[in-house]
Amino acid sequence: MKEFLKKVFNTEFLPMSEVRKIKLWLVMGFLSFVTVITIPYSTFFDYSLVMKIITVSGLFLLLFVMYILTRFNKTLAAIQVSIVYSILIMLYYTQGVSSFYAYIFFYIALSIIIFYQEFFSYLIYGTVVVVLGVYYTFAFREGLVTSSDIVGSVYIYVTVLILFYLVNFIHILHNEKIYTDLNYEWVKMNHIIHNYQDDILYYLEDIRQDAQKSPIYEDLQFQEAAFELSQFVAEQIVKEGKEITNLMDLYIYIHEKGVNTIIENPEISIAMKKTANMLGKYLLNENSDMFSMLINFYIRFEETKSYQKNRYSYHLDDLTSVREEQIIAFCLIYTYLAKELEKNPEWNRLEANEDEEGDNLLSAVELEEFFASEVIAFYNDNYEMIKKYLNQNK
Amino acid sequence: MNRKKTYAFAEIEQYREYLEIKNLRGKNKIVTGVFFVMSLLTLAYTIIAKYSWTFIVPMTIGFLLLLIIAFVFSAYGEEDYSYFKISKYILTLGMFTVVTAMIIIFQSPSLIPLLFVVYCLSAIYQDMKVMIISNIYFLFTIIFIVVNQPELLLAQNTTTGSTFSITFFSLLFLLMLSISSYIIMKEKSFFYNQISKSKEIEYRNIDLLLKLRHQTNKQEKDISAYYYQTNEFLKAFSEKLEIPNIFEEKIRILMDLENKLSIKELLVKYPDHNQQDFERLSKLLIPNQSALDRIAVKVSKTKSTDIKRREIFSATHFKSFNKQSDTTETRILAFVIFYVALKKGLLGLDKISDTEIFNMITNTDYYYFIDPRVMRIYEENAEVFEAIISDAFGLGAKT
Repeated sequence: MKEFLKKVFNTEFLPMSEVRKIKLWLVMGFLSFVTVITIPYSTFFDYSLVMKIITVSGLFLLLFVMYILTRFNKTLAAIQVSIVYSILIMLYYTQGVSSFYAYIFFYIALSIIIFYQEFFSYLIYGTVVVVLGVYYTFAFREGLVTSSDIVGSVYIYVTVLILFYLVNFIHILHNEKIYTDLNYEWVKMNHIIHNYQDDILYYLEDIRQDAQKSPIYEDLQFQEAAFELSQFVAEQIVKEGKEITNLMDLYIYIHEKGVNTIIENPEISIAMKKTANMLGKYLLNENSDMFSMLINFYIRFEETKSYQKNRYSYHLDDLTSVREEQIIAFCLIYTYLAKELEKNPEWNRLEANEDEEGDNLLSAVELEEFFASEVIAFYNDNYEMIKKYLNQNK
Repeated sequence: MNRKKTYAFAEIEQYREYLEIKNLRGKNKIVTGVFFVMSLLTLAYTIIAKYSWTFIVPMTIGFLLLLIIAFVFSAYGEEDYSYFKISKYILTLGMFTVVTAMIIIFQSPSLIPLLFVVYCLSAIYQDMKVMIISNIYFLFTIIFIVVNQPELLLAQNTTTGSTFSITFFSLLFLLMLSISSYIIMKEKSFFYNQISKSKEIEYRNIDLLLKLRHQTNKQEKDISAYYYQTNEFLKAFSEKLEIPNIFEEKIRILMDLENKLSIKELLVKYPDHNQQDFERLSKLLIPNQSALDRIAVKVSKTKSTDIKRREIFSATHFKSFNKQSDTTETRILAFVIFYVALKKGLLGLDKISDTEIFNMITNTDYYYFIDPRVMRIYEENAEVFEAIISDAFGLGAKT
C-alpha cells in the first residue's frame, strides 16, 4: 500500500503504461468502496430481495474479474470492465430509486470514464451515460424537482448534464492534441539524441582502441563484479542465483557474437533467442538503451554553461540578426553538411538510394527551426547554385 | 530515503515553465469560451422564463465583468505571462462564485450540477493550486447548501436520508474528480518533464560529442576551405544579381578571427566595424564547440530523423531498467551492469565518485528507472555493493 501511494504521488516520473495501471487500481478501489456502501443503500431501492442479492453478488464477481485481469497484465480489458461496471452500478442506483443522489451517479460514471482520458471510450460509453441520464431526468423527474422549483428545471438538469459531457469532451480532445504534439516532440528528440550517441560511441571506441584496452565487457574485474552483484541481488528476490549466472554468461556471449548471429542460428533454442533479444537493449558495445542511459548519467557531471533563456534554441537569429551574416552562416553550415557527407560515403549512398532527392542535403530538415524565412527563401531560390559551389563532392 | 526525488538536471525547470505557459494560452481560451456559452445559456433561460429585468441585468453584469477580466488578462498575458497565471485563479474563483450565487438566487437543486461543470472546466488548467481552490469552493458550497438551505434538496418524492445521501455522494464524486484531476495533472507533467529533460540531454550530448571529437582529433582541420567555398559562392551570387558583394569583407573578418587576430588589430584593419560586430561575428566561427558548430551538428543529426506515426505512441522510447516486458532476472542484470559500468568508468569519460553515483541513483528520477525491489536492496545494502565492487576491482576493503 505504501509503495502504491508512493507511486501515485510520483506519477510524473512513470511511463504511460504504468500510469494506466495506477488509474485502474484507483478506480478499482473507488468502485470497491461504492460497492460496499451499496449493500446498506440497497434497502432504499425498489427491487426484490433476490434481485438485490443477485446484483450485489454480480458486482462483487465483476470486481473479482477486474482484479484477475489486472494481475495478468490485461490492463486495457480491465479498464473496459471497470467502465462497464461503473455504468452498471449507475443503472442499479438510478433504476432503484428516484432521487438527486442517484442522479449524481451519472456524473460519477462520466468522471470514471473521463479519468482514463481515452477518446473512443469516452465517445461511446460517455454518450451512453448521457442518453441514459436524459431519459432518467424525464422519466423520474419527481425525484429531482422540488415543490417550489423554478420553471423548466428538468431542462436545466438535462442541459447541465450535456454541458458537463461537452466540457469533458473538449478537455479530452485538447489533452489528446497536446499529448500527441508533446509525444511527437519527445520521440523526435529521442531519435536525434540517438544520432548524437552514435557518434559518441564511435569516438569512445576510437579512444579505447588508441589506448589498446579491451572492451569493458571483456574486463575480468568488470565481469567478476557483475556476476557477484547480480547473484547477491537475485538471491534476495528470486531466492536462486543460478539462473542469473546463466543469464550473465549469455549476456557476455552476446557481446562477442552479436544478437543477430544468435537469432539466426538454427541450433539455438527459441527460448534462448527470446532472452538474447531481450538482452539486446542492454549491450555495452552498441548504441543501446544501456549505452544511452550511461551517457546521460555521465553528462550530468560534465561541465556546462549556466542556463540562459535561449539555451535550447538552435536558430541563427540567436547568433546574429544581420541577414547577410545569417546567409554566410547558412553557407558555412551547408558546407559542413556537404563535407560530412563526403567523409561518410556509405551513408551518402544509402541516403541517395532512399531519397529521390539524395543530393538535397536539407531535404529532411525542418528549416524554420534553424533559419529565418528570408534565409530559407534565399536557399530555395538559389538551390542549384548553392549545390554547385558548396556541395563540391557531388 | 523516502523524500521526493528530483530531476537529474536542474536546468529543466525553466523550460518546463515555458511549456506550461505555452499551453496555458490555449487552455485560457477554452475556459473563457465555455464560460461565455454558459453565460449565453443562462441569459437565454432567464429571458424565456420571463424573469424581470431587475433580475436579468445585474446577473448579466456579473457574467460580463468576469469575461472582461478574462479578456483583459489574456491580452496582457501576451506581454507578461504572469497575467495568464492570475487569470486562471480569477476565472476559477469567479466561476464558482457565479454558480454559487445562481444556486442561492434561483433556489433550485437543478443548478447544483453546475458546480460539477465548473469543477471540470477549471480542471482543464491542470494546475495544483486551481485544483485546491476548486475543492475548497466545492466543499464550501455543498456544506453551505446542506446547513443553510436544506429545503433545496427536498424533492417532491423524497427518500429517507436524502440530504445525507446527496452530501455523501457529492463528496464521493468530488473525491473521484480530485483523483482524476491529480493524475491527469501528473500525466501532463510527465511529458513536460521528458521534453525539458530531452532538451537538456541534447544540449549536453552535443557538448560531449564536440569534446570527444576534439579529443580524438577528428575535428575539421581544413577550416579555410569553408570560407573559401562560401566566399566563391557569394561572389558568384552577387555577380548574378549584379549587386555589390556585401559578404566578402565579413568573410575576411571571420578568417582573421580564425587566425586569432585581436579585437584591437581588427579595429585598426576594419575601421567601419566596432567591437560588438567582431564579438557577434566570432559566434559564426566554424571551429570546435563554437555556437555555429553546435547548430551545424544539430542540423546534421536532425537530417537523418524520420518518425513514423505508430512510433509516437510506442512505450519503447521510455528507457529504463524496469521494463514490464523484461523478466525479473533481466531487470536485475540491467541494473547491475549499469552500476558496475559506472563504477568501472568508461574510457574517455571523467570518473564519477561513489557518492555522486549513489546520490544520483537514489535521489533523482533514476530511482524510478530501476525495479523497486532491486532499488530497495541497493538502498539497504549500499555498503555490501561497495564491498563487492572493491573486492572485484582489487581495491581492498573500503570503510
